Amino acid sequence: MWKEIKMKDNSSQSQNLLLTGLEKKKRTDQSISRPRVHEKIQKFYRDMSSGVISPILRLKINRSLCNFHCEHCCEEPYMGRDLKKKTGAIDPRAQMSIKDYAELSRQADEYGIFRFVLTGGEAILDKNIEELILALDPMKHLIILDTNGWTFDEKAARWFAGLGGYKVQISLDSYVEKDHDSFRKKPGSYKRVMTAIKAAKEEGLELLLSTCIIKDRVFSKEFEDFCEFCKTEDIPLYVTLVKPVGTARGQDEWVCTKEDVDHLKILEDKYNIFTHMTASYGQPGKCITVKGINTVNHDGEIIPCPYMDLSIGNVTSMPLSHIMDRGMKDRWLGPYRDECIIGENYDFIKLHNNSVAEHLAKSPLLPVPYEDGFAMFGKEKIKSNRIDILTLSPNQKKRI
Amino acid sequence: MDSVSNSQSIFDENGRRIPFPGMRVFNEVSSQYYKIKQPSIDFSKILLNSQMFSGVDPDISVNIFQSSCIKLKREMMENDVLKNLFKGIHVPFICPKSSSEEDIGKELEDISLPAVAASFGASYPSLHFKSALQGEGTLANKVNTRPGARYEDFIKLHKDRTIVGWYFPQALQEYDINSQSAQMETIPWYRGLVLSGGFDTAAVFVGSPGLLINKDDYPPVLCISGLMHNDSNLMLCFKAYGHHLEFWGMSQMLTPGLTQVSEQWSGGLTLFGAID
Repeated sequence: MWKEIKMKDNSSQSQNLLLTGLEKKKRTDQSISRPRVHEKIQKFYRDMSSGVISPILRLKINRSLCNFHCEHCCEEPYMGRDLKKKTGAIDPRAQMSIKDYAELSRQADEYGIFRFVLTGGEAILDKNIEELILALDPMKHLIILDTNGWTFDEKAARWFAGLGGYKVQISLDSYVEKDHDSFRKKPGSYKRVMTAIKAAKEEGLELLLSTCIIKDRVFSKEFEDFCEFCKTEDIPLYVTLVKPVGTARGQDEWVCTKEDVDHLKILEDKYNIFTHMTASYGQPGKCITVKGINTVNHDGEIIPCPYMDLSIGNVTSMPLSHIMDRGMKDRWLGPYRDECIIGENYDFIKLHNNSVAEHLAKSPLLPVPYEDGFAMFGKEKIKSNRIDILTLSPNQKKRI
Repeated sequence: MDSVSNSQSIFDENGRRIPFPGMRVFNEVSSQYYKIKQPSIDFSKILLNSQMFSGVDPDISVNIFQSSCIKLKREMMENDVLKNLFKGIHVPFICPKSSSEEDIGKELEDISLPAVAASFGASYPSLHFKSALQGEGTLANKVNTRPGARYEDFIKLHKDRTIVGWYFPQALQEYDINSQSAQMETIPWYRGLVLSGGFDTAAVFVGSPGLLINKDDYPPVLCISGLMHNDSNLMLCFKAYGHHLEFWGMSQMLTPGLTQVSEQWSGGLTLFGAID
């Protein structure tokens, strides 16, 4: 567990560090409805200061099939339609089977992981999604569904809740209806999102809205109105930063600056909004590569961040625990850092995009395998304690 | 130290300790990706904040505070091995005599951190200061000086006198926590030079609450490794969260059994003396 330090004159804002009554209630409910999940959460809280991690596993399913063509999509290069356009064929690599997902669920459970996000593309379009959810086991893991809301109506909400689904994350990219529809290139999509919100609430599903920001959006009236809407509706707003990858590669003018991110952190005190770098689960806000989230591609490649195109290993050929350990020991991915490396750190963005460009010159298939990406620029290893100063003789110390 | 080392600086042009074999550092030469802007040094403002929020004796004048700091600086500038420290970020501070017989952790919780909160809140009312500790622990009765850090010298004087000094927040940037204290073994003994701890760093933030506010760059996480928590997994630090200021007891473990070396973590050095 973790706690706020008691101080005589602490600011009221620090109260958000403490568990709210609602959060406590959710956990109590979890101990009844999903005892195994509750057990894993308790264990994670107990052990996290010793370096134990329990990241979200974000599963990109069904070759990222999607019914939308959004302007900023980082997923387009993974989609069957994009590969078909470029190569005339779909992804020839072996895809994760239901059996593979069941094995992933087993390994994840053993590792102490308790959250799976189903995403795509649009995950709900997958005809095998029900079988997949059952293979992942909603009693052992919290199953979270990403959706653009187009087909997530009352019937879908009832179906998902009935299967043991936990939460729905609905994306809304502008609070202005015509802007959202135009960005999504899908007239009527805003209205469908509103229907999806209502449907999720009525079925008692956990719910959050997600929105992607480009530079300066956080300072707009539209964004403030959006935050107000979420506050009124009591819906947490998950804010993602546009990354210069996928269809946004080369759109450097979209990339958020520290000023945008700093302003978001001020808004966090006013509204129920958060980013992937917000303090959570008793840990300080930080970049959460590997330790907080990993994406599992259709072919089993594990990517340490939703917005990167570089793998840290394939779960169909290597144990999940080994891949996590390898990722944590990478100098970019494991150690603590505040900034979002793929969204803000130009050194990393350059390294990443160069590696991706080199790979794409040889193959259209992403992500870049570990051996061609992280393993190459991970060669500059952190100096380890090869010599312990405490063991040096006085003469050796003198020379130092 | 031999004669060669006595004439060569052990700090680089940015005031960072030059790593040597045995040190775990992220980069041999710091990337300086994480930056603090050198604040303009306003002794009167620092003193005023410290008198208002941390109970520094109101009879102490700016002249006395300033001249005491300048004297410490002048003396160090005569030392070729150490003088480069002043090429890095350096911030003067004044720390009141301890009014408490309590233990270190309790004094931090009850006196020092609330003083930082009050000073930060007064300067930046729209921002927050908060403190948090990972794990089951508290600070009270669980914080001690770190062996080898020389910080007990600070604690000893803190119990008797008002202290003035200089804080060098980036002297050990990119060093892991153990190396921050281990490198003290090879710094030639110099009166009043210690690995930074809780009371000096808190005094810095009382006097200069905006130290970590940086619109352009991410600032480092400032470890207070002169102190250590009973839970050896934890490291204590001040850090920015956007423009907010936070105190954390956070895990220093990368994986179970392996501590981490972070590019963003920075140990500090503190030069101090009793006020004249």
